[in-house]
Amino acid sequence: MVLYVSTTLFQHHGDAGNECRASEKGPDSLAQCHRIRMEGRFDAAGMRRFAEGRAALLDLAIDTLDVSPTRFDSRLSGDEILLGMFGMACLLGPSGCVVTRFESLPA
Amino acid sequence: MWTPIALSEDVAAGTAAPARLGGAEIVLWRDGDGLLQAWEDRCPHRGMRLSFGFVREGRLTCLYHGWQFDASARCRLIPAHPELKVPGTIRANPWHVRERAGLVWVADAADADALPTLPDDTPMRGLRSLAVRRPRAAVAAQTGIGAGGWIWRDGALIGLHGADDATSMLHLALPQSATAEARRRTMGEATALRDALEAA
Repeated sequence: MVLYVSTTLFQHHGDAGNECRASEKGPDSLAQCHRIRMEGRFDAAGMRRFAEGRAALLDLAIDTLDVSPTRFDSRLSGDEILLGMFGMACLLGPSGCVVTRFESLPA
Repeated sequence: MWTPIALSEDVAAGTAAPARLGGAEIVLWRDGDGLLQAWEDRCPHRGMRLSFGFVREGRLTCLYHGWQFDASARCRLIPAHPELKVPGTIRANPWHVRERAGLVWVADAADADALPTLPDDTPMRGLRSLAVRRPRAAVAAQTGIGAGGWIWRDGALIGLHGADDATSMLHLALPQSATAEARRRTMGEATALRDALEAA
């Protein structure tokens, strides 16, 4: 089992190859892009609704790539701190969704 | 549709208080200058009731992680990340709120109707709120309180709202000029009304 449960969830993986194009988040943004994959036991629709709602709340752009009862795969961009908050929120909730593996990779 | 949900004097400056309307949970709070706000009683972070929080320097602070919200409902500070420029998407969910005739009135629609006509030229003071273990419709039918949620009776203003499916709240206000004896009498009458409603 791999579980990262700290606010370093979205720290840089090596060089700054995961910085988004400025056009994605506005000219003043230092947006980061990450691909996150979660495995576990999900209410797929509930997980998708939660993740996309939380991304909107945190002003993150999200592309949901794959959702199943055992897997959630997405690509996110936005402020690195807010990306960390997103990851923590997914690890903690929503009800009916248990995350057993969390991966964050530069997109 | 505006609904009376509390007495103005029950939300002191610099404090927060909970209320319920039709099952919805609402936090009422005032900044130090007395400006009243009504929001959904949920922090957008982890869902903690904001009514458990505290007011400092014009901001309502969530008791759980200390997220601070200003009068515009925007989150302005996340203590764990003080350097973060908090995005405008992180905000509480406000209701429309006004104060009139000693009561707090809320509405949830952006195009909220005008407040019902009340005797504005008579300064009012809240007397008491009473919980009634009866549905709002039953209380309204027995008291004659209409859809507007208030009635003027025997010199007292009586507001009514449904807290949830089984519980209603009566809010009483009297003119500020009312004597102590009048306030005591009205209080007794209201308590008797509550008992009669629950016995019906």
